[in-house]
Amino acid sequence: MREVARNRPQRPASPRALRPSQLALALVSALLGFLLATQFQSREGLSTRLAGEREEDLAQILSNLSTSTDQIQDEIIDLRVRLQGAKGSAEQEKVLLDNARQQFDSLRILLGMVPVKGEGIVATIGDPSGTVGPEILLDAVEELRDAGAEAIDINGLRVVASSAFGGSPGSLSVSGTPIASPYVITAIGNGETLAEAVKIPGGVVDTINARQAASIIIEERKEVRIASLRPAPRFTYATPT
Amino acid sequence: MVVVFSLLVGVMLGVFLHPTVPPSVAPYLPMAVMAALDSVFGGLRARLDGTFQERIFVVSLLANSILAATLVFAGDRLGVNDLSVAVVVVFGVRIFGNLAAIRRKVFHA
Repeated sequence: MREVARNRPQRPASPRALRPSQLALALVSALLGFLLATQFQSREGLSTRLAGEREEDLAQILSNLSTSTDQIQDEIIDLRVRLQGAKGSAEQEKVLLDNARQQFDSLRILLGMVPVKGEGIVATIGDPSGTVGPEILLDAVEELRDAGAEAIDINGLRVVASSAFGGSPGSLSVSGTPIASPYVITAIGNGETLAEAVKIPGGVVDTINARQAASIIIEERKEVRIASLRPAPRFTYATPT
Repeated sequence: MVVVFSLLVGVMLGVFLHPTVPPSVAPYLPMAVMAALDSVFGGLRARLDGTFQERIFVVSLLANSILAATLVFAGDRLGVNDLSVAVVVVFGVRIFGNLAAIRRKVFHA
């Protein structure tokens, strides 16, 4: 079998002519190449590869495949569950964040920390002879709030929960800042409702009209703007429970 | 030259004709290829030793291939399915031995 073992001295060969032995060599080489190419290619396709396997091997391969399929299915289910969980918590977070943001915006409007605009009314109180007292402004503000006013401004001063009206007729002040006639009250809310509220019998309009030399004009507008701001309140004693 | 050329021709034939191996022969073709490869490396080694003989090469290649395939076929018929492993091991060892000898000749190491 082993070529090395059975060597004989090589005969001098003429390099040009193709001797029968060389022909045989060429044929064998061609056969070898053919076999190699065939074998290499036959290993390429899965079906031909499986066709070459014996039955036990095929059974083994099948069971391996079904085991790994099961594992992969389990993994898919597991990942789906985790995806759902992640989606759920992301959704929840988004909802919470949206709620918080809405609440934040509402509170900022309520505390007068942002400029606002929207439908509303402008009530102008003319009081050249100083007969309108702070209680009338307070009444007006309360009526407006009752009617759902979301933001109120008097002469460029934002009226918020902590605002106070002081002074005496002719020299009024809002939270310590003096204001002069005419008093322009800007309120944002449903215009019709707000106008109704101040025109109610025995209400602000009636009270003012009853006084000498005082007048009130109510204007409903599609859009009014309140640019005045209040600084953010600081709480020293109250903490959330 | 002749060898390389005809080897290339054979590969070309195999690639372009793209013969399909019948399933009944499929397990035995690799064995024949194994044996042929063993003969090739044996021939290469003999060549380096200066003892190469075409006749021996041709005959041993053909005989080994046919023998290996026949042996595995016979094993399958006899129910000794793993005879292919024996063939692979034997020829594997021989190929490694021949390659080692070639390496020693070429690199002197």
